[in-house]
Amino acid sequence: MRFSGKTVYVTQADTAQGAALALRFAKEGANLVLGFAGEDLVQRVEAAGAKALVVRPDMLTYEGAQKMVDEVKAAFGRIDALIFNNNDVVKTGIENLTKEVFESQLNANAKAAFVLARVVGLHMAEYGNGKIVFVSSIHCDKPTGSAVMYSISKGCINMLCKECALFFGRKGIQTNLIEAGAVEGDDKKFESEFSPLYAMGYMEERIPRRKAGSNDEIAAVAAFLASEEASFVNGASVRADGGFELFYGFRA
Amino acid sequence: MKAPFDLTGKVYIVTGSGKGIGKGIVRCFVKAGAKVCINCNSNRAMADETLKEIQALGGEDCAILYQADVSDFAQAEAMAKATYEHFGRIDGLVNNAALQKQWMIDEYPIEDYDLLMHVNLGGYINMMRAVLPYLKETRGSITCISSVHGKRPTDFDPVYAMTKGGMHMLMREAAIEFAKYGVRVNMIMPAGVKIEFKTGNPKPFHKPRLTPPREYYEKYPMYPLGRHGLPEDSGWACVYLASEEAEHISGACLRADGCSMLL
Repeated sequence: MRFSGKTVYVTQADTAQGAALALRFAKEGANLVLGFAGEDLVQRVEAAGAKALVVRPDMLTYEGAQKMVDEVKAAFGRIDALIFNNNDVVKTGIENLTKEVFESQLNANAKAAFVLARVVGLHMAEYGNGKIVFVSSIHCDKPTGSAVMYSISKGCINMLCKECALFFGRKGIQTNLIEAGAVEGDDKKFESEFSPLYAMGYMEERIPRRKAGSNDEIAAVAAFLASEEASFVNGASVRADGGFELFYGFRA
Repeated sequence: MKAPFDLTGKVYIVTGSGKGIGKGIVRCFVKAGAKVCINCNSNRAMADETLKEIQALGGEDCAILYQADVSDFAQAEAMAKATYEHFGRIDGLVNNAALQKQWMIDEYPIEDYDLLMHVNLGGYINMMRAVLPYLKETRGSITCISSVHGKRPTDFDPVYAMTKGGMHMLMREAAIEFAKYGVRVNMIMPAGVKIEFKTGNPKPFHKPRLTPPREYYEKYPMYPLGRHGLPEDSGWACVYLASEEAEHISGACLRADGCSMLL
Protein backbone atom coordinates (compact mmCIF):
# COMPACT_ATOMS: atom_id res chain seq x y z
CA MET A 1 0.00 0.00 0.00
CA ARG A 2 1.23 3.43 -1.01
CA PHE A 3 0.97 5.03 2.42
CA SER A 4 1.95 2.19 4.78
CA GLY A 5 3.82 3.64 7.74
CA LYS A 6 3.13 7.21 6.61
CA THR A 7 1.24 9.88 8.49
CA VAL A 8 -1.11 12.14 6.56
CA TYR A 9 -2.61 15.28 8.06
CA VAL A 10 -5.96 16.35 6.59
CA THR A 11 -7.02 19.80 7.76
CA GLN A 12 -10.71 20.55 8.22
CA ALA A 13 -11.57 16.87 8.16
CA ASP A 14 -15.03 17.73 9.49
CA THR A 15 -16.29 18.30 5.94
CA ALA A 16 -17.53 15.87 3.28
CA GLN A 17 -14.35 16.46 1.28
CA GLY A 18 -12.24 15.99 4.43
CA ALA A 19 -13.90 12.68 5.20
CA ALA A 20 -13.37 11.42 1.66
CA LEU A 21 -9.70 12.36 1.85
CA ALA A 22 -9.26 10.71 5.25
CA LEU A 23 -10.88 7.45 4.17
CA ARG A 24 -8.89 7.31 0.95
CA PHE A 25 -5.58 7.63 2.81
CA ALA A 26 -6.76 5.24 5.53
CA LYS A 27 -7.55 2.58 2.93
CA GLU A 28 -4.06 3.02 1.49
CA GLY A 29 -2.40 2.33 4.84
CA ALA A 30 -1.75 5.77 6.29
CA ASN A 31 -2.12 6.95 9.85
CA LEU A 32 -4.41 9.93 9.90
CA VAL A 33 -4.20 13.25 11.67
CA LEU A 34 -7.67 14.71 11.38
CA GLY A 35 -8.32 18.41 11.84
CA PHE A 36 -11.51 19.04 13.83
CA ALA A 37 -13.00 15.63 12.99
CA GLY A 38 -15.90 14.15 14.92
CA GLU A 39 -16.06 10.71 16.54
CA ASP A 40 -17.98 9.29 13.58
CA LEU A 41 -15.12 9.89 11.13
CA VAL A 42 -12.58 8.53 13.62
CA GLN A 43 -14.58 5.29 13.80
CA ARG A 44 -14.79 4.99 10.02
CA VAL A 45 -11.04 5.62 9.66
CA GLU A 46 -10.27 3.03 12.33
CA ALA A 47 -12.64 0.56 10.71
CA ALA A 48 -10.53 0.96 7.56
CA GLY A 49 -7.56 -0.26 9.59
CA ALA A 50 -5.86 3.07 10.27
CA LYS A 51 -4.90 4.91 13.42
CA ALA A 52 -6.41 8.35 13.87
CA LEU A 53 -5.52 11.40 15.93
CA VAL A 54 -7.90 14.34 16.06
CA VAL A 55 -6.24 17.75 16.35
CA ARG A 56 -7.79 21.17 16.83
CA PRO A 57 -4.90 23.55 16.29
CA ASP A 58 -4.96 27.32 16.22
CA MET A 59 -4.11 27.53 12.51
CA LEU A 60 -3.51 31.28 12.59
CA THR A 61 -0.38 31.31 14.76
CA TYR A 62 2.98 29.63 14.30
CA GLU A 63 2.87 28.60 17.97
CA GLY A 64 -0.53 26.95 17.59
CA ALA A 65 0.56 25.02 14.51
CA GLN A 66 3.83 23.99 16.21
CA LYS A 67 1.90 22.67 19.21
CA MET A 68 -0.09 20.48 16.83
CA VAL A 69 3.09 19.22 15.14
CA ASP A 70 4.56 18.32 18.55
CA GLU A 71 1.37 16.44 19.41
CA VAL A 72 1.60 14.45 16.17
CA LYS A 73 5.29 13.75 16.73
CA ALA A 74 4.46 12.24 20.12
CA ALA A 75 1.73 10.06 18.60
CA PHE A 76 3.10 9.05 15.18
CA GLY A 77 6.69 10.33 14.97
CA ARG A 78 6.28 12.74 12.07
CA ILE A 79 3.97 14.12 9.36
CA ASP A 80 4.68 12.83 5.85
CA ALA A 81 1.98 14.72 3.97
CA LEU A 82 -0.06 17.84 4.63
CA ILE A 83 -3.40 17.91 2.81
CA PHE A 84 -4.71 21.44 3.17
CA ASN A 85 -8.46 21.20 2.83
CA ASN A 86 -9.82 24.46 4.25
CA ASN A 87 -12.55 25.61 1.92
CA ASP A 88 -14.82 28.01 3.78
CA VAL A 89 -17.32 29.72 1.52
CA VAL A 90 -19.14 32.89 2.52
CA LYS A 91 -21.29 34.47 -0.16
CA THR A 92 -20.46 38.12 -0.71
CA GLY A 93 -19.82 40.56 -3.51
CA ILE A 94 -17.28 43.38 -3.39
CA GLU A 95 -19.91 46.07 -3.12
CA ASN A 96 -21.46 44.59 0.02
CA LEU A 97 -18.25 43.16 1.49
CA THR A 98 -17.74 43.70 5.21
CA LYS A 99 -14.44 43.92 7.07
CA GLU A 100 -15.49 40.87 9.10
CA VAL A 101 -15.96 38.65 6.05
CA PHE A 102 -12.73 39.97 4.51
CA GLU A 103 -10.85 38.93 7.66
CA SER A 104 -12.60 35.64 8.35
CA GLN A 105 -12.38 34.32 4.78
CA LEU A 106 -8.73 35.28 4.34
CA ASN A 107 -7.89 33.79 7.73
CA ALA A 108 -9.72 30.51 7.21
CA ASN A 109 -8.54 29.86 3.67
CA ALA A 110 -5.27 31.74 3.16
CA LYS A 111 -3.61 32.58 6.47
CA ALA A 112 -4.15 29.07 7.80
CA ALA A 113 -2.57 27.75 4.60
CA PHE A 114 0.45 30.00 5.01
CA VAL A 115 0.94 29.15 8.69
CA LEU A 116 0.51 25.40 8.23
CA ALA A 117 2.66 25.25 5.09
CA ARG A 118 5.46 27.03 6.90
CA VAL A 119 5.31 25.09 10.17
CA VAL A 120 4.60 21.64 8.72
CA GLY A 121 6.97 22.33 5.79
CA LEU A 122 9.84 23.13 8.15
CA HIS A 123 8.98 20.03 10.20
CA MET A 124 9.11 17.82 7.09
CA ALA A 125 12.32 19.54 5.94
CA GLU A 126 14.08 18.05 8.99
CA TYR A 127 13.58 14.66 7.33
CA GLY A 128 14.46 15.87 3.83
CA ASN A 129 11.16 14.75 2.32
CA GLY A 130 7.42 15.29 2.44
CA LYS A 131 4.40 16.40 0.45
CA ILE A 132 2.11 19.39 0.60
CA VAL A 133 -1.17 19.26 -1.32
CA PHE A 134 -3.59 22.17 -1.40
CA VAL A 135 -7.13 21.06 -2.17
CA SER A 136 -8.06 24.31 -3.88
CA SER A 137 -10.59 25.21 -6.52
CA ILE A 138 -11.09 26.21 -10.15
CA HIS A 139 -12.01 29.53 -8.51
CA CYS A 140 -8.31 30.30 -8.17
CA ASP A 141 -8.70 31.28 -11.82
CA LYS A 142 -12.39 31.53 -12.70
CA PRO A 143 -14.37 34.13 -10.76
CA THR A 144 -17.39 32.91 -8.78
CA GLY A 145 -19.59 35.98 -9.07
CA SER A 146 -20.88 35.01 -5.65
CA ALA A 147 -18.11 34.49 -3.09
CA VAL A 148 -15.37 36.97 -3.85
CA MET A 149 -13.28 36.44 -0.72
CA TYR A 150 -13.27 32.71 -1.40
CA SER A 151 -11.79 33.14 -4.86
CA ILE A 152 -9.38 35.84 -3.68
CA SER A 153 -8.08 33.50 -0.98
CA LYS A 154 -7.73 30.76 -3.63
CA GLY A 155 -5.71 33.19 -5.74
CA CYS A 156 -3.43 33.68 -2.71
CA ILE A 157 -2.99 29.92 -2.32
CA ASN A 158 -2.08 29.58 -5.98
CA MET A 159 1.00 31.68 -5.37
CA LEU A 160 1.70 30.16 -1.95
CA CYS A 161 1.88 26.76 -3.65
CA LYS A 162 4.44 28.01 -6.15
CA GLU A 163 6.53 29.76 -3.49
CA CYS A 164 6.54 26.56 -1.38
CA ALA A 165 7.49 24.55 -4.46
CA LEU A 166 10.66 26.63 -4.75
CA PHE A 167 11.53 27.10 -1.08
CA PHE A 168 10.64 23.63 0.20
CA GLY A 169 11.53 22.03 -3.13
CA ARG A 170 15.15 22.68 -2.25
CA LYS A 171 14.55 20.74 0.97
CA GLY A 172 13.15 17.61 -0.69
CA ILE A 173 9.46 18.47 -0.41
CA GLN A 174 6.98 18.66 -3.28
CA THR A 175 4.06 21.09 -3.13
CA ASN A 176 1.10 20.89 -5.49
CA LEU A 177 -2.44 22.08 -5.86
CA ILE A 178 -5.75 20.65 -7.01
CA GLU A 179 -8.16 22.94 -8.82
CA ALA A 180 -11.30 21.07 -7.88
CA GLY A 181 -14.52 22.08 -9.55
CA ALA A 182 -18.10 21.13 -10.31
CA VAL A 183 -18.22 18.70 -7.40
CA GLU A 184 -21.64 17.65 -6.09
CA GLY A 185 -23.22 20.51 -4.19
CA ASP A 186 -21.11 23.25 -5.79
CA ASP A 187 -24.13 24.59 -7.67
CA LYS A 188 -25.83 25.35 -4.35
CA LYS A 189 -22.63 26.71 -2.82
CA PHE A 190 -21.73 29.17 -5.58
CA GLU A 191 -24.97 30.12 -7.33
CA SER A 192 -24.46 33.64 -8.60
CA GLU A 193 -26.35 36.71 -9.76
CA PHE A 194 -23.88 37.37 -12.60
CA SER A 195 -22.03 34.19 -13.45
CA PRO A 196 -24.01 31.46 -15.24
CA LEU A 197 -21.54 28.74 -14.13
CA TYR A 198 -23.92 27.10 -11.69
CA ALA A 199 -27.19 28.56 -12.89
CA MET A 200 -30.59 26.91 -13.01
CA GLY A 201 -29.52 23.31 -12.88
CA TYR A 202 -27.10 23.62 -15.79
CA MET A 203 -23.87 22.86 -13.91
CA GLU A 204 -23.81 19.25 -15.00
CA GLU A 205 -24.61 20.16 -18.61
CA ARG A 206 -21.34 22.06 -18.68
CA ILE A 207 -19.38 18.91 -17.83
CA PRO A 208 -18.71 16.73 -20.91
CA ARG A 209 -19.70 13.53 -19.04
CA ARG A 210 -22.79 15.32 -17.65
CA LYS A 211 -22.22 14.21 -14.08
CA ALA A 212 -20.77 16.21 -11.21
CA GLY A 213 -17.53 15.15 -9.59
CA SER A 214 -17.44 13.37 -6.25
CA ASN A 215 -15.33 14.03 -3.19
CA ASP A 216 -13.79 10.58 -3.73
CA GLU A 217 -12.58 11.60 -7.19
CA ILE A 218 -10.84 14.65 -5.71
CA ALA A 219 -9.35 12.46 -2.96
CA ALA A 220 -7.89 10.16 -5.62
CA VAL A 221 -5.99 13.07 -7.15
CA ALA A 222 -4.77 14.16 -3.72
CA ALA A 223 -3.56 10.62 -3.01
CA PHE A 224 -1.58 10.60 -6.25
CA LEU A 225 0.01 14.00 -5.52
CA ALA A 226 0.86 12.90 -1.96
CA SER A 227 2.40 9.63 -3.16
CA GLU A 228 5.94 8.84 -4.26
CA GLU A 229 4.64 8.39 -7.81
CA ALA A 230 4.39 12.19 -7.98
CA SER A 231 8.03 12.72 -6.99
CA PHE A 232 8.74 14.97 -9.98
CA VAL A 233 5.48 16.92 -9.78
CA ASN A 234 6.16 20.18 -7.96
CA GLY A 235 4.39 23.54 -8.03
CA ALA A 236 1.75 22.12 -10.36
CA SER A 237 -1.94 22.90 -10.51
CA VAL A 238 -3.97 19.86 -11.43
CA ARG A 239 -7.45 20.79 -12.58
CA ALA A 240 -9.94 18.12 -11.52
CA ASP A 241 -13.30 19.29 -12.79
CA GLY A 242 -14.24 16.85 -15.54
CA GLY A 243 -13.64 19.57 -18.14
CA PHE A 244 -16.21 21.93 -16.59
CA GLU A 245 -13.98 24.95 -17.06
CA LEU A 246 -13.58 24.32 -20.79
CA PHE A 247 -17.27 24.89 -21.44
CA TYR A 248 -18.00 26.91 -24.57
CA GLY A 249 -21.69 26.64 -25.36
CA PHE A 250 -24.13 23.73 -25.03
CA ARG A 251 -23.70 20.78 -27.43
CA ALA A 252 -25.55 17.53 -27.96
CA MET B 1 -11.69 65.10 -34.12
CA LYS B 2 -10.68 63.61 -30.79
CA ALA B 3 -7.17 62.16 -30.78
CA PRO B 4 -7.02 58.46 -29.88
CA PHE B 5 -6.56 57.69 -26.17
CA ASP B 6 -7.27 61.32 -25.27
CA LEU B 7 -8.39 61.68 -21.63
CA THR B 8 -9.12 65.42 -21.63
CA GLY B 9 -11.70 66.32 -18.99
CA LYS B 10 -11.37 63.02 -17.14
CA VAL B 11 -10.28 62.52 -13.53
CA TYR B 12 -8.29 59.65 -12.04
CA ILE B 13 -7.12 58.63 -8.59
CA VAL B 14 -3.79 56.79 -8.56
CA THR B 15 -2.87 55.27 -5.21
CA GLY B 16 0.74 55.19 -4.11
CA SER B 17 1.67 57.77 -6.73
CA GLY B 18 4.12 59.91 -4.78
CA LYS B 19 6.93 57.89 -6.33
CA GLY B 20 7.80 54.85 -8.41
CA ILE B 21 5.32 53.26 -10.81
CA GLY B 22 2.42 55.35 -9.49
CA LYS B 23 4.28 58.55 -10.28
CA GLY B 24 4.92 57.32 -13.82
CA ILE B 25 1.22 56.58 -14.18
CA VAL B 26 0.07 60.08 -13.13
CA ARG B 27 2.64 61.57 -15.49
CA CYS B 28 1.13 59.61 -18.41
CA PHE B 29 -2.44 60.47 -17.40
CA VAL B 30 -1.62 64.18 -17.31
CA LYS B 31 0.17 63.99 -20.67
CA ALA B 32 -3.01 62.38 -22.04
CA GLY B 33 -5.01 65.38 -20.82
CA ALA B 34 -6.48 64.01 -17.59
CA LYS B 35 -6.57 65.45 -14.09
CA VAL B 36 -5.29 63.35 -11.22
CA CYS B 37 -5.44 62.83 -7.50
CA ILE B 38 -1.96 61.86 -6.36
CA ASN B 39 -1.95 59.72 -3.22
CA CYS B 40 0.78 58.96 -0.73
CA ASN B 41 0.80 57.50 2.73
CA SER B 42 4.14 57.76 4.50
CA ASN B 43 6.46 59.76 2.27
CA ARG B 44 4.78 63.17 2.15
CA ALA B 45 7.92 65.15 1.26
CA MET B 46 8.54 63.09 -1.86
CA ALA B 47 4.86 63.34 -2.86
CA ASP B 48 4.99 67.13 -2.51
CA GLU B 49 7.84 67.14 -5.02
CA THR B 50 5.83 64.87 -7.32
CA LEU B 51 2.84 67.23 -7.12
CA LYS B 52 5.04 70.19 -8.15
CA GLU B 53 6.52 68.19 -11.01
CA ILE B 54 3.08 67.13 -12.27
CA GLN B 55 1.70 70.66 -12.01
CA ALA B 56 4.70 71.93 -14.00
CA LEU B 57 3.80 69.35 -16.64
CA GLY B 58 0.03 69.87 -16.85
CA GLY B 59 -0.70 73.17 -15.11
CA GLU B 60 -1.72 74.18 -11.57
CA ASP B 61 -5.22 72.74 -11.91
CA CYS B 62 -4.33 69.28 -13.18
CA ALA B 63 -3.47 67.62 -9.87
CA ILE B 64 -4.16 67.45 -6.17
CA LEU B 65 -2.32 65.51 -3.49
CA TYR B 66 -4.18 63.51 -0.87
CA GLN B 67 -2.41 61.72 1.96
CA ALA B 68 -4.28 58.57 3.00
CA ASP B 69 -3.66 55.04 4.20
CA VAL B 70 -5.75 52.95 1.79
CA SER B 71 -5.81 50.00 4.18
CA ASP B 72 -8.30 52.07 6.22
CA PHE B 73 -11.68 52.21 4.43
CA ALA B 74 -12.65 55.53 6.07
CA GLN B 75 -9.52 57.19 4.67
CA ALA B 76 -10.07 55.62 1.25
CA GLU B 77 -13.65 56.92 1.22
CA ALA B 78 -12.53 60.38 2.33
CA MET B 79 -9.99 60.53 -0.51
CA ALA B 80 -12.63 59.60 -3.10
CA LYS B 81 -14.99 62.23 -1.68
CA ALA B 82 -12.30 64.93 -1.66
CA THR B 83 -11.39 64.13 -5.27
CA TYR B 84 -15.02 64.30 -6.35
CA GLU B 85 -15.59 67.57 -4.50
CA HIS B 86 -12.49 69.12 -6.03
CA PHE B 87 -12.89 68.02 -9.65
CA GLY B 88 -16.63 67.32 -9.83
CA ARG B 89 -16.26 63.80 -11.19
CA ILE B 90 -14.17 60.60 -11.02
CA ASP B 91 -13.58 58.57 -14.17
CA GLY B 92 -11.24 55.98 -12.87
CA LEU B 93 -9.03 54.47 -10.24
CA VAL B 94 -5.58 52.97 -10.53
CA ASN B 95 -4.86 50.69 -7.60
CA ASN B 96 -1.11 50.75 -7.21
CA ALA B 97 -0.16 51.21 -3.54
CA ALA B 98 1.50 48.04 -2.31
CA LEU B 99 4.18 46.85 0.10
CA GLN B 100 6.89 44.25 -0.06
CA LYS B 101 8.80 42.85 2.91
CA GLN B 102 11.28 40.44 1.38
CA TRP B 103 11.34 37.78 4.09
CA MET B 104 11.64 34.11 3.22
CA ILE B 105 8.83 31.85 4.51
CA ASP B 106 10.85 30.53 7.47
CA GLU B 107 11.59 34.05 8.75
CA TYR B 108 8.30 35.81 7.97
CA PRO B 109 6.92 37.74 10.99
CA ILE B 110 3.19 37.09 11.17
CA GLU B 111 2.62 40.82 11.73
CA ASP B 112 4.13 41.50 8.31
CA TYR B 113 1.88 38.84 6.79
CA ASP B 114 -1.12 40.73 8.17
CA LEU B 115 0.22 44.10 7.05
CA LEU B 116 0.72 42.98 3.44
CA MET B 117 -2.74 41.41 3.26
CA HIS B 118 -4.34 44.58 4.63
CA VAL B 119 -2.46 47.00 2.39
CA ASN B 120 -1.99 45.07 -0.87
CA LEU B 121 -5.36 43.30 -0.91
CA GLY B 122 -7.47 45.22 1.61
CA GLY B 123 -6.29 48.55 0.19
CA TYR B 124 -7.26 47.57 -3.37
CA ILE B 125 -10.70 46.44 -2.19
CA ASN B 126 -11.23 49.56 -0.04
CA MET B 127 -10.43 51.86 -2.94
CA MET B 128 -12.66 49.94 -5.36
CA ARG B 129 -15.56 50.24 -2.95
CA ALA B 130 -14.80 53.90 -2.21
CA VAL B 131 -14.84 55.02 -5.87
CA LEU B 132 -17.60 52.74 -7.18
CA PRO B 133 -20.48 55.18 -6.45
CA TYR B 134 -18.71 57.85 -8.55
CA LEU B 135 -17.70 55.44 -11.31
CA LYS B 136 -21.34 54.41 -11.72
CA GLU B 137 -22.04 58.00 -12.84
CA THR B 138 -19.23 58.09 -15.41
CA ARG B 139 -19.15 54.41 -16.45
CA GLY B 140 -15.52 54.62 -15.39
CA SER B 141 -12.73 52.12 -15.13
CA ILE B 142 -10.47 50.50 -12.55
CA THR B 143 -6.96 49.31 -13.31
CA CYS B 144 -5.03 47.25 -10.78
CA ILE B 145 -1.24 47.20 -10.87
CA SER B 146 -0.24 43.66 -10.07
CA SER B 147 3.06 42.06 -10.94
CA VAL B 148 4.44 39.09 -12.84
CA HIS B 149 4.53 37.69 -9.31
CA GLY B 150 0.80 37.15 -9.49
CA LYS B 151 1.65 34.29 -11.82
CA ARG B 152 5.28 33.44 -11.17
CA PRO B 153 6.67 33.05 -7.64
CA THR B 154 9.18 35.53 -6.22
CA ASP B 155 11.43 33.25 -4.18
CA PHE B 156 12.02 36.29 -1.98
CA ASP B 157 8.63 37.30 -0.57
CA PRO B 158 5.95 34.57 -0.52
CA VAL B 159 3.32 36.83 1.04
CA TYR B 160 3.84 39.53 -1.59
CA ALA B 161 3.17 36.88 -4.23
CA MET B 162 0.11 35.66 -2.30
CA THR B 163 -1.35 39.17 -2.29
CA LYS B 164 -0.69 39.47 -6.03
CA GLY B 165 -2.36 36.11 -6.65
CA GLY B 166 -5.34 37.31 -4.61
CA MET B 167 -5.42 40.53 -6.63
CA HIS B 168 -5.78 38.52 -9.84
CA MET B 169 -8.99 37.03 -8.50
CA LEU B 170 -10.16 40.36 -7.07
CA MET B 171 -9.78 41.89 -10.54
CA ARG B 172 -11.76 39.08 -12.17
CA GLU B 173 -14.53 39.14 -9.55
CA ALA B 174 -14.79 42.92 -9.79
CA ALA B 175 -14.90 42.74 -13.59
CA ILE B 176 -17.99 40.52 -13.61
CA GLU B 177 -19.65 42.17 -10.61
CA PHE B 178 -19.26 45.76 -11.88
CA ALA B 179 -20.05 45.00 -15.53
CA LYS B 180 -23.71 45.82 -14.88
CA TYR B 181 -22.66 49.42 -14.13
CA GLY B 182 -20.52 49.61 -17.27
CA VAL B 183 -17.47 49.82 -15.03
CA ARG B 184 -14.46 47.97 -16.44
CA VAL B 185 -11.73 46.37 -14.34
CA ASN B 186 -8.35 45.35 -15.72
CA MET B 187 -4.85 44.53 -14.59
CA ILE B 188 -1.28 45.30 -15.53
CA MET B 189 1.62 43.05 -14.61
CA PRO B 190 4.88 44.99 -14.70
CA ALA B 191 8.31 43.54 -14.02
CA GLY B 192 11.83 44.75 -13.40
CA VAL B 193 10.98 48.35 -12.61
CA LYS B 194 13.79 49.87 -10.57
CA ILE B 195 11.85 51.24 -7.62
CA GLU B 196 12.58 51.22 -3.94
CA PHE B 197 10.21 49.35 -1.70
CA LYS B 198 10.55 50.59 1.85
CA THR B 199 10.59 47.14 3.41
CA GLY B 200 11.76 47.98 6.91
CA ASN B 201 13.57 44.65 6.66
CA PRO B 202 17.25 44.89 7.59
CA LYS B 203 18.08 41.87 5.44
CA PRO B 204 16.19 42.29 2.16
CA PHE B 205 16.47 39.97 -0.83
CA HIS B 206 17.88 36.60 0.03
CA LYS B 207 21.18 36.18 -1.76
CA PRO B 208 20.95 33.76 -4.68
CA ARG B 209 22.98 30.57 -4.28
CA LEU B 210 24.71 31.08 -7.62
CA THR B 211 25.87 34.31 -9.22
CA PRO B 212 26.51 33.64 -12.90
CA PRO B 213 29.34 35.57 -14.57
CA ARG B 214 28.74 38.84 -16.38
CA GLU B 215 28.89 37.05 -19.75
CA TYR B 216 25.80 35.03 -18.79
CA TYR B 217 23.62 38.13 -18.53
CA GLU B 218 25.31 39.76 -21.51
CA LYS B 219 24.36 36.82 -23.67
CA TYR B 220 20.99 36.18 -21.98
CA PRO B 221 19.59 39.48 -20.66
CA MET B 222 16.82 39.22 -18.04
CA TYR B 223 14.70 41.50 -20.21
CA PRO B 224 14.84 40.37 -23.86
CA LEU B 225 13.84 43.84 -25.08
CA GLY B 226 17.11 45.08 -23.68
CA ARG B 227 16.20 47.33 -20.79
CA HIS B 228 14.63 47.37 -17.34
CA GLY B 229 10.98 48.25 -16.88
CA LEU B 230 10.05 51.91 -16.54
CA PRO B 231 7.09 53.40 -14.64
CA GLU B 232 5.78 54.75 -17.97
CA ASP B 233 5.47 51.21 -19.37
CA SER B 234 2.62 50.73 -16.91
CA GLY B 235 1.54 54.36 -17.28
CA TRP B 236 0.76 54.19 -20.99
CA ALA B 237 -0.95 50.84 -20.51
CA CYS B 238 -3.14 52.55 -17.87
CA VAL B 239 -3.95 55.37 -20.30
CA TYR B 240 -5.05 52.85 -22.92
CA LEU B 241 -7.13 50.80 -20.48
CA ALA B 242 -8.80 53.96 -19.15
CA SER B 243 -9.56 55.32 -22.62
CA GLU B 244 -12.80 55.03 -24.58
CA GLU B 245 -10.88 52.94 -27.10
CA ALA B 246 -10.73 50.17 -24.47
CA GLU B 247 -14.51 50.18 -23.89
CA HIS B 248 -14.80 46.44 -24.63
CA ILE B 249 -11.82 45.42 -22.47
CA SER B 250 -12.58 44.15 -18.98
CA GLY B 251 -11.16 41.39 -16.82
CA ALA B 252 -7.99 41.50 -18.91
CA CYS B 253 -4.43 41.19 -17.79
CA LEU B 254 -1.69 43.02 -19.67
CA ARG B 255 1.94 42.10 -19.07
CA ALA B 256 4.34 45.04 -19.31
CA ASP B 257 7.53 43.19 -18.51
CA GLY B 258 9.88 43.44 -21.49
CA CYS B 259 8.98 39.83 -22.31
CA SER B 260 10.83 38.62 -19.20
CA MET B 261 8.14 36.23 -18.02
CA LEU B 262 8.57 34.04 -21.07
CA LEU B 263 12.18 33.24 -20.16
